[in-house]
Amino acid sequence: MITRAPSITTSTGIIWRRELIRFCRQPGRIVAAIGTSVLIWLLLGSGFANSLEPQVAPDESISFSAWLLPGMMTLIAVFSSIFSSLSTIEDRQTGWLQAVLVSPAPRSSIALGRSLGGGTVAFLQAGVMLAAIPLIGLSTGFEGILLALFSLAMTCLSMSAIGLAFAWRCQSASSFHSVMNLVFMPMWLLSGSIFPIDGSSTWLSVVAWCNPLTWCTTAMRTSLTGSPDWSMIGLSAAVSIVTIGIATLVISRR
Amino acid sequence: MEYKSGSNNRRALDHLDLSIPSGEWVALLGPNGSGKSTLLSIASGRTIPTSGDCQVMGRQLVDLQRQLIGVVFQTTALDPRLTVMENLIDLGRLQGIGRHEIHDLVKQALGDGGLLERADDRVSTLSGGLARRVDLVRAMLHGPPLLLLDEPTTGLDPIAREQYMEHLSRIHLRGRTTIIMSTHLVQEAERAGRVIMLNEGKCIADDAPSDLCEMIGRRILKVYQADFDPPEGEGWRRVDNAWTLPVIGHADPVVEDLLEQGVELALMKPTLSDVFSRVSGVGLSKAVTAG
Repeated sequence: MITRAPSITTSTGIIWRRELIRFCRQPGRIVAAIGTSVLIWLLLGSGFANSLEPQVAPDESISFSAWLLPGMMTLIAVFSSIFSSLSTIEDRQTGWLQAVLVSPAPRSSIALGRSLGGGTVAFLQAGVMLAAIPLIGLSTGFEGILLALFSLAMTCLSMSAIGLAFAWRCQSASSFHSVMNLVFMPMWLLSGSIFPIDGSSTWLSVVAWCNPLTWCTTAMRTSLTGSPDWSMIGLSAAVSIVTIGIATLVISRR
Repeated sequence: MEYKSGSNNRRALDHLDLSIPSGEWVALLGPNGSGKSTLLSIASGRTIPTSGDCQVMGRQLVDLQRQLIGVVFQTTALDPRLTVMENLIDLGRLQGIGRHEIHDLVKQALGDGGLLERADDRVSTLSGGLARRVDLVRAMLHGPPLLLLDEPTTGLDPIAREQYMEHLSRIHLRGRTTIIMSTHLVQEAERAGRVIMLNEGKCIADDAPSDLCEMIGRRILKVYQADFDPPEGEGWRRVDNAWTLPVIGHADPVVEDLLEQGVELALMKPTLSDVFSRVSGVGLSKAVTAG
């Protein structure tokens, strides 16, 4: 039987669906990603509320826990991206992806399928956090929730794609750990997720505003607080397009 | 064709010049690091040679029609969290098999391989041998005329290995599929119609297994005595723990001389391992262990 190469949509869909099936069959991964973020949220939200609340909301319009929520959603996106990147390394060297690489499926579909798959998994985990909105005194409208979900989707896609691009160049999981420590964690810490950027030193503020994760977190935060920052929402969408482009380029190169 | 790798530009393949006609079963025999996997990686389009030219099924690597090739790797390319059926459907679809045909095709292929009753089991629950057989079904699902296997029985016990090779023989006989298989096991290489011996990236011998064995003599004389001092100029070679010499048989004067001296010796039919040792100067088993 002589077959024809599958279309990019077919192969992207297959790779994306497999990511979802794998995710559903790994309950430990769900617990680790959501559990860690909820724990950090509870600790910071209750422990630092008195010292940081006056800085994030001098007019007491928002509680520190509510202010932290988008940052925790960003953290889940980062954690999820790390998990998915680690499985990419394993998969490429000794698993399923080996067969995909010798198949006629376009290589760009690997980038798209993995980014969309990893992004969807992160989105599902982080999206759950929005269920806490009524508990933390936020009165976000339907439009705000939709915009926050959109920004979250863009954040998850970006993190998943950039993680994939780094993981593709790493020969082992241990070498990816250095990427994790040098890239992902500083990106998250400097994204305004747990500390407000306003009021920080000038250099730190400049670095933070150059950080794409800051744009994504700000897009989510402003959407949830009822005053969406359209430039940040637009930038978070642009970041996801650029990072998927980078991942496609990296994977397509031999 | 040549392939250099690593920071010191080590030649993984060194001026290799091969042609494999369709329908042939070829075994690439050599120790670890001899270039077998690199050659298969090039043939499957995953690696581009640093110099020279490689054509697969009449096409340059850049125009390679991947749907004409099935590849079996040293580790199974199956997702352990997915069922056998899910793995085969997804990977078959990525090979270009249509949505409407794939289910029937997978069931038929699993039935032919005696694996149908495990179709809904997760791959993680299969034994190593079964997972290997499912992986072979995966590689053959789209009916490729060329099958590349990189040490496909790695990690299998002797019985599972034998069953796997039997299955492979049936595939070869049934479809006249061209098979290129790398191995460092002589018993596996002997099943092929042609054996290409590789050492340090070079082709050191290339012929049918029986012809290769005849090439070095009718019998191999082996002396395991530790204090044996072989006479010079007769072509004695130290391989692993023995001194070896090709002879014509019991009537060979060398054998008669040694028996008169009371040397303990063994006369054996040459194997591919002996051929490899004679040609390369290194024992295949020793090279594998050291490699």
